Amino acid sequence: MTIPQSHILMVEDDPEIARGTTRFLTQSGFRVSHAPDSRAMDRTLRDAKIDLVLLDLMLPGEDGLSICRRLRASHTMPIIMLTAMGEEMDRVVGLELGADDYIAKPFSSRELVARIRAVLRRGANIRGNAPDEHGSKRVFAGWALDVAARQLHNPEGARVTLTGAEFDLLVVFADRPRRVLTRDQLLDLTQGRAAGPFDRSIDTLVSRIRQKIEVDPKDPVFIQTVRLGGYMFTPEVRTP
Amino acid sequence: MKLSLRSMITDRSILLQVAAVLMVCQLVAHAVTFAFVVWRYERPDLLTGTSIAAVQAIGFRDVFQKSDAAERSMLEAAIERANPHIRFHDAATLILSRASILPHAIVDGMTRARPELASVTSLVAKPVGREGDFAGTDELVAIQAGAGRALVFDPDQGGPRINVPRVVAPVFLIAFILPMLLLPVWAAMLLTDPLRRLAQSAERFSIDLDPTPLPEVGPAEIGRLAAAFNLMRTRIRQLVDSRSRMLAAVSHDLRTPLTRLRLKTEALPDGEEKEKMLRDISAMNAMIGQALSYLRDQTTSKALERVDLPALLGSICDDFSDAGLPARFTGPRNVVLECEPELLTRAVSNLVDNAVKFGGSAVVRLEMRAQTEAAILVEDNGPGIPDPRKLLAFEPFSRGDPARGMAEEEGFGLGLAIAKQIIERHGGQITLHDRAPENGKTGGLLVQVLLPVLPRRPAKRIAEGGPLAATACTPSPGAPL
Repeated sequence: MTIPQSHILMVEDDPEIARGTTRFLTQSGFRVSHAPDSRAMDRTLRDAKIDLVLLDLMLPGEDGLSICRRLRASHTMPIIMLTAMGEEMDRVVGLELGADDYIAKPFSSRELVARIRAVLRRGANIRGNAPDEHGSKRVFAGWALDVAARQLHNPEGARVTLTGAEFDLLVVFADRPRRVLTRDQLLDLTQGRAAGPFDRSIDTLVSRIRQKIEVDPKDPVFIQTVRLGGYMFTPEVRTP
Repeated sequence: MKLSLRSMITDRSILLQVAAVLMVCQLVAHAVTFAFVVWRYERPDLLTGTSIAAVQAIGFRDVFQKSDAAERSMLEAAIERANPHIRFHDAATLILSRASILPHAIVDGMTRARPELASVTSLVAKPVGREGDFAGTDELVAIQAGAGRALVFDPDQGGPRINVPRVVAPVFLIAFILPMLLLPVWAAMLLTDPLRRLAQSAERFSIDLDPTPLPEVGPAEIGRLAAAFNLMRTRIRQLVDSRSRMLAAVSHDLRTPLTRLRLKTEALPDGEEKEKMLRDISAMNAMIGQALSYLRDQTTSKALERVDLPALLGSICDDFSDAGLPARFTGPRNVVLECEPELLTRAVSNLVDNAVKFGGSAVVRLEMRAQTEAAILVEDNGPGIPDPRKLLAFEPFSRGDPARGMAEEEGFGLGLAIAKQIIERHGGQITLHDRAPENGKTGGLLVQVLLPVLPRRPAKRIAEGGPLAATACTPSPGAPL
């Protein structure tokens, strides 16, 4: 998939990290601007059309969380938070404040590029398909899926843990209920987040999700296999 | 069963103790009052109406006896004028009624208390004489005054007479027993309520560092205790906060140069050296994370959540196998426990990580040991840990083999220490065992984690808003997305 050269704004106070990141992002085909603090960021945002903001959490002056909240109120472009804390709490708070993804330092350049592509693609989805405009919660058959917090709760209210890939796939299903989705479509819709060398096939992921949400995984009700290669998510999905 | 009185007193709640003490005090007070009254009743000569009348009567008799015979009729008239409840009568005209004398408790009591009264003939009689005297009075006492005269008096006069109420039960119960039981409980609750709030607040604080200070009210001692507790809590909070800030700063300050290093390394031309450097950087980062989480987990606390344990264990194993590391999960479904999911995930991940690192592969099994206890068993095929080192393995910064030094992937040796810390925080236990040998091979290590879980509930077959019937699932060719 080719993406027209996207303009990324990196808000990062450490000049060496900014220089290194800029270098490999440019090599990966992105246009990159750099702002060391929130004021420089505001200037750049006024002057250029930015497709994605890479936002450091610890900044001199206004910190990343506050910037994130402010950007969310005024802009629609995706935000990826970068942080050296790597705390689960920061991750959840960051995502609740409207960040689209969260990467812990030190990150690998390959991972960062993969995440940026995934977020940009999802951003395109939002504008094209608009399933995300419903908000971050989906409810089906008593199950609650919180996309922002990346959590699934069963009808008894207990949290059911999914791996990242499983969660992404379930969100794809929940956003397209009662439609037949082929393996290729599912692969395309979930690609980007988990792109490791041992990435599991859609079939494996579906079977794992069934283990976790179906009453009888051998006789599935929620995710049904459709002849001629595909799956269908059968419950009615509400977005409260 | 024999309970020592001491333990019965000291082991109960303060509320019960205070209430009991108050009840006993009231009981004793009432008993003393009651005994006093009864005693007074038995000594009617001191204060009661009967005694006053009797003492007066005896006094008048003495005056009468000492007086001149000529003055006696004047004296009688004077005494009667001044004391309406005392009358002189001709002794011969008194109708004696012995039968009604005997059960008369007042006379009995009088004679017992004042022996000199025993010498007088006490009579209960209706005097024949002037109409209107002693109207409405049934019981009279007469004493011989000499010279054929008798002094008749009404024992009820001259002061109140004590009557023990006949119908006591309901009134006594409501007016006496009930307040005696309820007032001490109420008073004790009033006294112990600040203590109860203090305990509650301490519990909440120990769980989530709840910042609301305790009201410093109640009895002076408890008020001081609350103030001391608030002070201690403020200090602990400051300590925790400064520690969190320090950890965040350390984390940030270590990871920022590490990020620079990584970026520079990635810019190097590909090769074995570059791979090794990247691996070292990852290891350093993992160690920073390990050390920080070990320190952080001792102080921070998040809310408990109900979590599906098989899903959590399965996801951990899937994450490992997705990264190319052999880890497998087996066990029953639908086991729910209350935990901090991120912490429990870290604990089990550490165990699986060790098993994969030292044993080549990990098998995680979930077994129910009781209605509310589950066992998580993490097994590997490695060399295991010799018995003398099993306990030491849980010590922070310990290593399986002291001779081996710091291996490349081993980290700080905090994995088991962190796991133990987390498991114990969840009310569980973690122990190391040898796996039973299989087919002549030594078994490897078995880590057993016992955790309290919620009682299991039967799974619901069809939930609300049920899915479509299976017949509706025919494919629609080329369904658009």
